[in-house]
Amino acid sequence: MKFSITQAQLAQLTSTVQRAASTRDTVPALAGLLIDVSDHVLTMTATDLELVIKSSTDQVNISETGRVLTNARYFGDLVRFLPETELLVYTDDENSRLVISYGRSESHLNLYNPEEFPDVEMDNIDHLLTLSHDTLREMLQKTSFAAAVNHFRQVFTGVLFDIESEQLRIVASDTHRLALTVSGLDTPIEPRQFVVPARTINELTRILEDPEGTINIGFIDHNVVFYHDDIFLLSRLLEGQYPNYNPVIPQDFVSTILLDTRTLVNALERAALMPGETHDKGPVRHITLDIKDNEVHLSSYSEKMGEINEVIEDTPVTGETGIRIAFNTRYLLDVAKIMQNIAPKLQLNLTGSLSPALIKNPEQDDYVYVLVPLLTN
Amino acid sequence: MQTIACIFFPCFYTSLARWDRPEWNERPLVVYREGQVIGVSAELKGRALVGMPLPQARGRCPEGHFVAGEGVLYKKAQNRYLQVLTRFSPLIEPWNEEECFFDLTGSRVQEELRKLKIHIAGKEWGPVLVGIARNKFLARLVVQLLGGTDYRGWSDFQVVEVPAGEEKEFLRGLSLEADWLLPPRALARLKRMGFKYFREIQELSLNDLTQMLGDDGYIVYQHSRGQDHTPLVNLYPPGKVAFSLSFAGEVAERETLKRALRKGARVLTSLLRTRRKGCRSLCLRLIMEEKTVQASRLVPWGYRDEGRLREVLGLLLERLWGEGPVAGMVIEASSLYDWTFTEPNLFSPGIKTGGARYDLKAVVEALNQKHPGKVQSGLELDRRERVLAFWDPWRSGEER
Repeated sequence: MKFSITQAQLAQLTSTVQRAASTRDTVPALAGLLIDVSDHVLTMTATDLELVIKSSTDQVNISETGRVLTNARYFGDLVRFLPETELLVYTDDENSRLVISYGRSESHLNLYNPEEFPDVEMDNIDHLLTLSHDTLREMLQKTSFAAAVNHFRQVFTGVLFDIESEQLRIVASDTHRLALTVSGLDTPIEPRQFVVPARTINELTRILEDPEGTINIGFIDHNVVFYHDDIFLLSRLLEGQYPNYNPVIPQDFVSTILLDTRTLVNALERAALMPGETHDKGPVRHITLDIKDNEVHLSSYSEKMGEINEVIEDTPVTGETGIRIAFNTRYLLDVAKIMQNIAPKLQLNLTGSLSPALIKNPEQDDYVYVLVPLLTN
Repeated sequence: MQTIACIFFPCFYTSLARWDRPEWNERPLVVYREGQVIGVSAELKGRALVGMPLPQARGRCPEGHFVAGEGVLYKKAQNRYLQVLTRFSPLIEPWNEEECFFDLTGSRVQEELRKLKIHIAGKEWGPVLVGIARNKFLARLVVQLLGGTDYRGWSDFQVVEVPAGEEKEFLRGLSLEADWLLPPRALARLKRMGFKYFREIQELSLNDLTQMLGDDGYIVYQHSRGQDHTPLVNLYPPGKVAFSLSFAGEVAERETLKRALRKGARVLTSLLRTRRKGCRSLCLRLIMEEKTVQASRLVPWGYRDEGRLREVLGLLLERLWGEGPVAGMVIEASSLYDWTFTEPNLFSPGIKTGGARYDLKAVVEALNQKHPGKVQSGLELDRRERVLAFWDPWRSGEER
């Protein structure tokens, strides 16, 4: 195997793929990066058996085809720090090493047996739908942060794709909050639900950074595939039934408050400076909202630091006033930051001081965020 | 400006020993515990026996009558006087069995002391010394000085105050050994350097002292000028927060009392917050010329919010109003509980209803207040029906 490629091109390709490789050393082949050179195309593949990323480029000069397996982390780190020049990559068959040559210098990397790398079939994809990069990225950014990091019910550590006729709904929840976003589909599709692990979503979001283009979603056996021309991301799905989230979304409200998003974000960022108070799962930062006539009083208290009391004036309140409700500051700040990018105002709908609140964009109905209040004993 | 009081019972142990044994009144008494002298009667004060090992003390005071101390008796007496102090200050810090700090900031000190004398003098704990100063250091120093002297012939309730602004002057003639907060190593070094009195230290600059004593130099500098920033820590009562207000004269206007209650609610909220507590019982006591009336309210789910406290205090005032002009009031929050946050699960049933947690003990107390004698606590296991009847106030009333 022998090819030449620019450092920038190789670094980009490697950084996209290498994150799928296993970080554990138990099976060396799973920590590897498969480099396959054939017919004018350089393809790299990495997998830890839960996630597969395969990416290719044709911006490469191939002298000799071949297939090698090397450690993904070592290769990726090395390529990242190489000088921005043309690189020559070839195998030293006598010593079973990969040589990367740059100018008068060269590096040698040990190789694994490529036969040990698991077979990754990317054929026979059952195509489901196609979305623009922008649409899918925005939907995932608005929801995936609400998924749980750890939860005994595994489905809560993932993001639900719920397809219903001409609508795609993406939902994430850690059981204390729920984010839901909706997008219309061009053509009706058979209803389907699947839960994608949060880690896959993080990798997918990185792939979708390019604003142009479209991405296809399909299935191979029971795995989901996100793919376009030169990239495939295959992931196992989380098993288990995602609970019915519709009853969780409140419909009737006692009070509706229209808040300036930027003002709220600024106030919450200050409140988030307060050290956390005792919580059954560790310290939690909290903020209390006192709904008055045409204004909202925000207060946060910490025994260690002190107190912050803020008033957001000129805040239209419809319905009951005098409601006092406490939230986890981080949970409220997360959604306020998301809303900051999409709307100047944020609509906070309250169902009472002890029951969940609903946050949405007052101008559009495509995104809702349900948040439970903090209760004290 | 802060006003700290230190109350000291110089004959606490011997007075309690003599309370039930009048025949010991005429004998010089020495009380010991765990092989060490803990208290002596007034006539032995100058003999420096306190803290001395028992055999040595017997040798030095052969005429003394040695009595073994009774820990339970002292604890009970201490609780009794601390209970009295809760009516006068929301911040009480017991120092040891015979000494206690309390905060009188913002109150009419002389008026409060007059009332304190009525409640605390002439009791089983014997004579009472109260030191008043701007800080804990001076308040305790002054009562310790007084307590170490033979004060027979004084009244049972003696107050000594270090007036604000005169601290430096007050300390001038005192020995450095009187500084009870000074680390022993610093005192030893000062002695080695030939310093004996505060007035000698007062002539030195902070720079001189830190060069001589390191970090201890700063403490010595502050103390020599009567300064101390040791905070008063509210340690009593463990399950109660009290706040007292006294008026210049008697108050007959409801609005004035309501204003005072608003202030009380604010102070109570702040105290509860500091302790990270909520309270399940709130009591309002109105002090009148000839009597004291009180009303209380129990709520199983607890209070900690200022608005709610103000509202409940207002209701209690309505219940007590009309008994006559009020000279003072005590607001007491008890049945304290720790408050922690919980985040409900969106997907669990009943989320819409909130999920206030009820304290069974407090519920039973509240029911008992509403239906006296109907609810009892305990456990009966003979028949299922009886267990069921147990929590039903009406059925249990008929059957029992």
